[in-house]
Amino acid sequence: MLRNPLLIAVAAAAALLATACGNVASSGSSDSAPPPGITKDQITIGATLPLTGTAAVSGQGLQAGIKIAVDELNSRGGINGRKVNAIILDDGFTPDRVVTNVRRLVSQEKVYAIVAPAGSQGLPGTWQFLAQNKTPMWGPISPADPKQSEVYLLSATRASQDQVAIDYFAKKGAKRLGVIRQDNDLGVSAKLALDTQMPKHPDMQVVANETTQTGSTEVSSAVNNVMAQKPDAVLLAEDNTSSALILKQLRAQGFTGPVFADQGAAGTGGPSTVKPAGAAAEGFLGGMQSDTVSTDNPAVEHWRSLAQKYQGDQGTSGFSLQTYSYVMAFAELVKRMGDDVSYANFTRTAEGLASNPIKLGSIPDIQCGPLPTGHTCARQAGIAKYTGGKWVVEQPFMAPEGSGT
Amino acid sequence: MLQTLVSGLESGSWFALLGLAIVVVMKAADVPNFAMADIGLVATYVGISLAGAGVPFWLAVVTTLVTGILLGVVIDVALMRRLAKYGHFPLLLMTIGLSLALTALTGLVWGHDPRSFRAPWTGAAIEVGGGVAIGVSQIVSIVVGLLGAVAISAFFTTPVGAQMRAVAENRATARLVGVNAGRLSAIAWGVGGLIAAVTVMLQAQSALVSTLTPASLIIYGFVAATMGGFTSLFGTFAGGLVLGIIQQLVGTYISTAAQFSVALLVVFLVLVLRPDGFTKGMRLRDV
Amino acid sequence: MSELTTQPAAPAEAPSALPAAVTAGITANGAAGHAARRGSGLRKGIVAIVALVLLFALPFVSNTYVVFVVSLTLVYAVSTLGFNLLVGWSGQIGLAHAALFAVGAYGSSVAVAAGVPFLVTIPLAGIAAALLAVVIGFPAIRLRGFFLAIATLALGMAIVELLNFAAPITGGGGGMNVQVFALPGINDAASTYFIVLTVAAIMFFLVRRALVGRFGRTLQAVRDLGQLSGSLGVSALRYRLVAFALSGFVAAVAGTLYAQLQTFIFPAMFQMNLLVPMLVMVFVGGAGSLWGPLIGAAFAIVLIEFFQDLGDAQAIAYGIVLMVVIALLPGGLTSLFRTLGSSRFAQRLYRRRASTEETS
Repeated sequence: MLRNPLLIAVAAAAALLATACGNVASSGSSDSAPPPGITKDQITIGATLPLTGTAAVSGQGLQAGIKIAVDELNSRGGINGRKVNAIILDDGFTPDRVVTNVRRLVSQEKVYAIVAPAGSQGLPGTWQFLAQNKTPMWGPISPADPKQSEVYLLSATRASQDQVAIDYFAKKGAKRLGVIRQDNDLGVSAKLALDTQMPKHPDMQVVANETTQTGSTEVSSAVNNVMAQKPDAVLLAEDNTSSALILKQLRAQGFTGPVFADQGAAGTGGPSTVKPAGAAAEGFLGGMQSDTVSTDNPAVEHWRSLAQKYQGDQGTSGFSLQTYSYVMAFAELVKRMGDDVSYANFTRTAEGLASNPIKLGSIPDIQCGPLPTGHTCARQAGIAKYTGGKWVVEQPFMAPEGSGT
Repeated sequence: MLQTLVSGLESGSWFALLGLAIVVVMKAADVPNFAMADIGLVATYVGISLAGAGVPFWLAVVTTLVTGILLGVVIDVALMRRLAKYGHFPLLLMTIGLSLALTALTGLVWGHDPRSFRAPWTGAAIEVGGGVAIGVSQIVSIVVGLLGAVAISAFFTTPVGAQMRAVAENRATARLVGVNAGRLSAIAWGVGGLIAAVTVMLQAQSALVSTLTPASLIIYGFVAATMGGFTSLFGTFAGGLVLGIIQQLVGTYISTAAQFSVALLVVFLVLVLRPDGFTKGMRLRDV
Repeated sequence: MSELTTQPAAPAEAPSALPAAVTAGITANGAAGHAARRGSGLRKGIVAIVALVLLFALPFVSNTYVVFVVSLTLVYAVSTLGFNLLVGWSGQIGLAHAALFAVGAYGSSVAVAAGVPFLVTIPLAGIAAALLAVVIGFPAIRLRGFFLAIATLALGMAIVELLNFAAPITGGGGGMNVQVFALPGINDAASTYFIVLTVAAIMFFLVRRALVGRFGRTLQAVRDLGQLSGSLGVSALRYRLVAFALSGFVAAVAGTLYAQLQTFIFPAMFQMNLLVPMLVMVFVGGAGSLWGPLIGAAFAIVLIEFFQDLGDAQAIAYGIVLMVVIALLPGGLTSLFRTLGSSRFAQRLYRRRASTEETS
């Protein structure tokens, strides 16, 4: 009863071994091989987003932007006649799910490229995998630049935004800078920004540099320490909740100077930080990777008209504008690639953007260049101020001083 | 320095109260309840929703408290009691599973945005000279925490409270002398839920709470309870306050990032240096 | 006096529990278990080898995503094997398992970055974690039940905190990149999978060897009799600490593999958010069962993949599944395959209850 199935199984296993050895060989895909996920009439892209969990609000906004862009592209006949098929997976804001999802998108769903995924802490776990498969990742939100061929960052990194903020503080005459940063990748970005940019402003000093525990809402001693140094301005590298809490406590202790947080931490353009902060949010500064949602910029107007028709949640949030812009930029890039859809041509075309940038209007011009630094395709960041219940542009997009762009 | 002390006493009050909630349930039901802070969060969110819908503040507060009590009792009757005969591990796991489910449920119903419970005094501060301002909400936390501790101590001197202590000391004997252990455990869970609701509500009127709050709050609650040997009400309350102050001092003079580690160190030191405080509790289970 | 009545029960009952335990190894299906229970040692061996061969064939027929998910399942199964040894077999609620897992992940990754060959780091990280586990288990001398749980939880969390502070070596909260080891001529996913599978098979074999013999029986006796095991002539304390060491070793070995799969690690990965699924895996699989860890791990991973699109309901489902399993199947899923009467867990519970009631 048992023996026959066993024999069959052994035979099957042997047969498989004999026939399918190619599957595990480390040949990698050669540049000339046709890339996956693209046919004459369809192109498949994928993203992993925190649709649930603690970052669900931003994840839903990010998803909305992708869907709005894909619908618009398809209603206009796709990219070079190819319909766009977007596969969006949920990672619940857990880093190991981000890694699993990217593998699923590449190996199982066979996407051509990963476009506008999120997860600054989880995505680094996919760099090696992407390198092996040569799958491009276009516009991840917002890890540090891994400086690798497959990954293109489309907006100012957290560090760049912080650098722009440091310049802004210096311009406003601040002498004493207080910093509160989280003990994770956010804090690492802030430290990078301080190390790069503070030497350029000898008049300004970091008077307090506090580190807080990731995931903890115990921020009061950090606030007390910063306040004790009587700073002129405060730079935050925290999550939304902690940013809101710190903002409340700073204002409660009578701090009136400028407080800045990057796009993710400030939730610039959206409510994720300013709503819980309540009245303390007045005058709060947020980094801008894409234009503010309420501006009268025509490119943003166009997106807004589509976003208002979107059925799901968070269609009109700043996150939605961001991923919408990224997908549209991707479409423009693929269009420029013409008939040669190989990954080699993808890299060639993308790295050629330095001389002929993609200009969308809603985000800074995308001008990728060759490695090592060229894949941070935009260094410019804007600053928005939350005032009278909405975000308004405080300082237009500009690059950090001395960055050469 | 004064600000540091007040901040320490404020968060210390939250830790102490949650520690008391844990100890009360421990005493009567013999369960280390990892879902305690989640119960408080659900109750507080009910209150916040009501207040947001225009219900008067004090009515919302009372509803929050009642929700906390009901949640505690329902959990005991529906889930915990039937498991009691299997020993400690299934009970402990049940509270962990419950904590997961409650957090996720809260996220599903109310979302993951942080929220605050606006009280009439929110935002008000008292100048104490030297440019230092103490928030009224901080004072409220400290005073309510103290009142709560006194009330719980008083509760244990009532006949019901005395029975509860008897159960904690010897379950079988207590049953022999006619104590209804089931009723007592329901009461303990109700009282625990009530205190947990107060704790999270206090935090929500002063700072912000979100679905992330229970995970860190419960650890500090357990630290406080450990300092009281899981039996002593006074030890737990004092332990919570001391923990709050230590945390602030560590945050001010060493690093905010070291706060959590110090709390863990406290647990370990207490367990290793004061094992005598625990032998009594141990014997209960181990014979 | 009354405890004497419970004493003969342990040795008498232990053999009846053994057949279920013997069906360990990598045969994770009920049919194979039943066959093995009835069949000879030879047949069990054949089943195990065929299962292994089939598993080895996986990368040849499926894409790297499936290979990755199966690898992850095996890593969790190994980790759960160690956790189960401590919690299920020795009856000690030690909650530092996620931290020891992290010690394996970081220990291996840091050593590899310093030039040590990856395969060498597997046993090294295991031994380091075993020593650390003995230190963590030290409070077990005095503490029982959830006091031990809280002490070990605190120590475990402190270890993860330490990873934050050791930023020059570990990259701190920002995380560190892991150099992936690949067998020559094979792609990374398949290579990691083959290593994971081989290590998993070895670990299951070793743990089975350890638990099926005298050691396993003594461990159970120590668990079931508590302090009374002194009357059996064994040092309960020594067995408790050995259980900690073994479980730490297995956890760290799993951790080294986990780092290879994730390729990027950071301390926040190893906090409560990992410990809770680990507990779920132990209990869904069945505490004190030998092949329960495989079922528990597969169940947890499949649950995540199936409930992928449920969102928050996924976490609720997780909590509810845990609660349901505890309430309805105190012996875990593996107990479904046994008759209620021979369930070791039920008898143990019954015994424990009887002894508490009689002695108090």
